[in-house]
Amino acid sequence: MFSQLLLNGIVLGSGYALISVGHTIIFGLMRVSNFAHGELYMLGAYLTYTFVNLLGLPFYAGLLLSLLGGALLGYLLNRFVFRYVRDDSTVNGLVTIGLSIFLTNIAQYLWGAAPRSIHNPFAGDTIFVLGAAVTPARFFIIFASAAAILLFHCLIKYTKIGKAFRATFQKREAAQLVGVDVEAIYSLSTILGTVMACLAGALLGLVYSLEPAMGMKAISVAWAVVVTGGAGNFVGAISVGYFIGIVESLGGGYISSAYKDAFPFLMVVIVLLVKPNGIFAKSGSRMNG
Amino acid sequence: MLLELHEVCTGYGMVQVLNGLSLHVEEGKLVTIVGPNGAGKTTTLRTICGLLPVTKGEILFAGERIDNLKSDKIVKMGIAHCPEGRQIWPNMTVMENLELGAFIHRSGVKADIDRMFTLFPILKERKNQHAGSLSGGEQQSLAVARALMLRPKLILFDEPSLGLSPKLITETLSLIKRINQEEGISVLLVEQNARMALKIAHEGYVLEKGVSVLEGKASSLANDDYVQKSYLGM
Repeated sequence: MFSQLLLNGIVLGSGYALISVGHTIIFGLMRVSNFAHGELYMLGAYLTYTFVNLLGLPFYAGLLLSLLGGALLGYLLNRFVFRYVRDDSTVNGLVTIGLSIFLTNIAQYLWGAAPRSIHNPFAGDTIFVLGAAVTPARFFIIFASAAAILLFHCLIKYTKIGKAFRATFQKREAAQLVGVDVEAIYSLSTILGTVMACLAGALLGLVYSLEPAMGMKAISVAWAVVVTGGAGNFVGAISVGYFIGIVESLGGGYISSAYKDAFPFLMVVIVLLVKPNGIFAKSGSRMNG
Repeated sequence: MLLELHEVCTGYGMVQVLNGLSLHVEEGKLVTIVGPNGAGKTTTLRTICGLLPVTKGEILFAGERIDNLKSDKIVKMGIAHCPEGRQIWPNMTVMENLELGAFIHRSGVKADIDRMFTLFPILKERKNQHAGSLSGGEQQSLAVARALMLRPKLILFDEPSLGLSPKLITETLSLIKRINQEEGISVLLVEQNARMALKIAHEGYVLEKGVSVLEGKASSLANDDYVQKSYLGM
């Protein structure tokens, strides 16, 4: 049973890591306390559901369109919301809580309150790895998440725009002084964060059911991960994201599934007591992971 | 005329800092602004490169209005800014700091970096180190090199001597003089150390409460009674 629970945890953790990377960009770096981040995850899942189930597109085409939709959503979000509330964390918290409620209800209106599920596109057989049953969909989730995280890492680390991204969040004015258009960087950051959340939704939508309120759980986990890992720290977000997925799965299996949602927060409480800046935080600076 | 400020006013929120400042920098000249703390020296430089909006007046660079442009557009016209406190990126390598200095350029960046390594050999030794791990003097060299990577027509220096040892202050200021003479880059220098600044500059302005109270040749300012009493401690 252990290996099965561990595998389920890694699948869940893949989604959590993606959501948390997005939240790290938007909250950790841009300092927008985005309470609507869970709804971006929810919309990613429902967009894929729409393209694949309702419009009958092939899964990969539907996934790609959902990510493009996420990019557009991210652009609009920055252009019409974040841009005006970015520098005030109280106001941006309130605005995004409103946005979160709005999006949840829009989803309920459009897709109904009943749980949905995305058609499983993988016909292959279940494989057994060390006694754990792995369906092709679960394989896909694990690899797609890892690929997305790796791609993001390379973008930030090696490209010119990635360097401008890091420079902007380390010292915004210095970036302006070498000619970086920081508004464009903020726009790109919101797009990246939103696409990550949408991808997480589309992937976890393959094994978990979709409902309009699913973002609530996602944002709770995202906060827990980002606080535990240290705000603005990608290594922290990714490792704690996977860790929480595994803890939730093992805890749910061995202790009680009634408490599985509580484990991430138990961890937050412990970390805040012991290392209040987060496990991976270095001294005070953002964009250090 | 390379840079002209006409009756420029600006400030932070309700607090007005510049109250109609006029000054100009001729092509190839090294011009310095001296004055007490809070006179608006740093604000002047920040306003020129678009970090602060101009509330009244106008700024021209090479004959074109720049006071309504965003900072990235102003930078692209050829104004580099070596800001107060150096503002290098501490968690990025020396190499990455230099590459970012050339953010607006597509070609010739590698050759420029090699040139910086000849100019500042210590940066070559440290090229893969995080910039935050450099000493104060090395960070200052990096900040100057980063500004040069822009291939600017004009460099704004804000308190380059701040926090450096007397020996390094002399080195830094003579480096600025060399940049001006050998590279032909115009310089607008803000400096607490008025004596040294007036020694290397062609022209100078004395800034008090956001306006220029005195201007002229640096050598004649250095011999001015008021300047000597107020800023040179004589």
